[in-house]
Amino acid sequence: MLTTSQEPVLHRHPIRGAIWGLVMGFGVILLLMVLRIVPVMIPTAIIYAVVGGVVGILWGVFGPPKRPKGRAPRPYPASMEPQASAPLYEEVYPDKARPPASPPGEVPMPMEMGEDEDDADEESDA
Amino acid sequence: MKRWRNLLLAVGVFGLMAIAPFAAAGGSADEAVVDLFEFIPEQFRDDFEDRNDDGIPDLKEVPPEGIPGIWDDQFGEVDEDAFIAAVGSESFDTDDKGSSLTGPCKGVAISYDADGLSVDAMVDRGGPEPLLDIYGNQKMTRSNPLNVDTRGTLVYFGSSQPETFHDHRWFLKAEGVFKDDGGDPNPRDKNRNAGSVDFGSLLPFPFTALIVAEGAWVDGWGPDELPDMEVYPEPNCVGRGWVAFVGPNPWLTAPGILAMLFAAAGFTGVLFNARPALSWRE
Repeated sequence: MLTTSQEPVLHRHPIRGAIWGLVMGFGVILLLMVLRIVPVMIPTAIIYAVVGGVVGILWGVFGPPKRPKGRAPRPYPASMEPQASAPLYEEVYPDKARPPASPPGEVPMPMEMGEDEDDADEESDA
Repeated sequence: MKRWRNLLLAVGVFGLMAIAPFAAAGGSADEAVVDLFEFIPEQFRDDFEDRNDDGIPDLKEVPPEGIPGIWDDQFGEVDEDAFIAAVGSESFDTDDKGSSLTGPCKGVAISYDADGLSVDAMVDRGGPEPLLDIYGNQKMTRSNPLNVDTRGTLVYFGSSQPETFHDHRWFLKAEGVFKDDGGDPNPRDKNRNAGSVDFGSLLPFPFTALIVAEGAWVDGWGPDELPDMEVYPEPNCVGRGWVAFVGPNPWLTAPGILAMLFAAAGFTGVLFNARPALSWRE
């Protein structure tokens, strides 16, 4: 699975380099043969293709890397950063007992209007 | 500015491709010192006339192909493996830029374009001197190969006089390109031959290339195929030399277009698709 990173990560392509290098080497030797610069010889053609493949591998591994596309992914703003741990119920409401957990499968009923909100207002006023 | 630079670059590359073949094909100003008519048997001389004034007789009419020997290979190799085995050999030495023809063999070979005009010629008098062009220079060397038009015809007249070979075998081959072989018991004591090779009809498409060709012709070998050997039994004729297939603009032949496509695709792929890349994705 791909994940994003704050620092750019270097990806090398030796396999692609070998394949394209073989194609390039074969094309170059064929061109030299067609232009009568190099005589037609099967071993020569093989040598050029292999050398092209090696050049492609070296380029795919040690070539100067391309810059990453786009900008670096922005870090989360401070307000959106997840907190290390949510505050406990007792820390927020030190004077109240924790309500019982609803049994599995049972949908908890919504709070009645004015009941807890009033209590909260009173506490904030105090 | 960048656009003008690219335009200039493209014009330069195109000019190089278009002009180079013509510049390389510049003619020789030497005087012909060999009269090729003296090597053409009398009964064939009326078929030739020097129409382009280059000292080489041009064709009025394409002569018939030579009469094949009883043991001549009429079909060639039928599958790829057999072909590779036939044309692949370690005996070819590209460091040897010279040419040679030993033994009693002598004769002349003239190559023509599709219109029957002469392209090149070579001659061997059978003595110790090397293969020659009509200007007296050594022929079939790397720097002075025999030019053969792949759309045209090659005409030859040869003999082994004063020797007469019987139960002889021969082969002629160029690595990676072709091999032909044959032989004949020669019960009628023939010691000369004439014929033509019509490349225009033999080859599927014209091409250009430089090849090293070698061949041998051995007396008394019998019906078995003649292999590559360091030293052939005497008497024999053994030769090697350079042949340049010429004719069309190399960039416009099928192999030339294929080569350009491969080279361009490979170069582009290496440069842009195989280059290491920095990424924000791990």
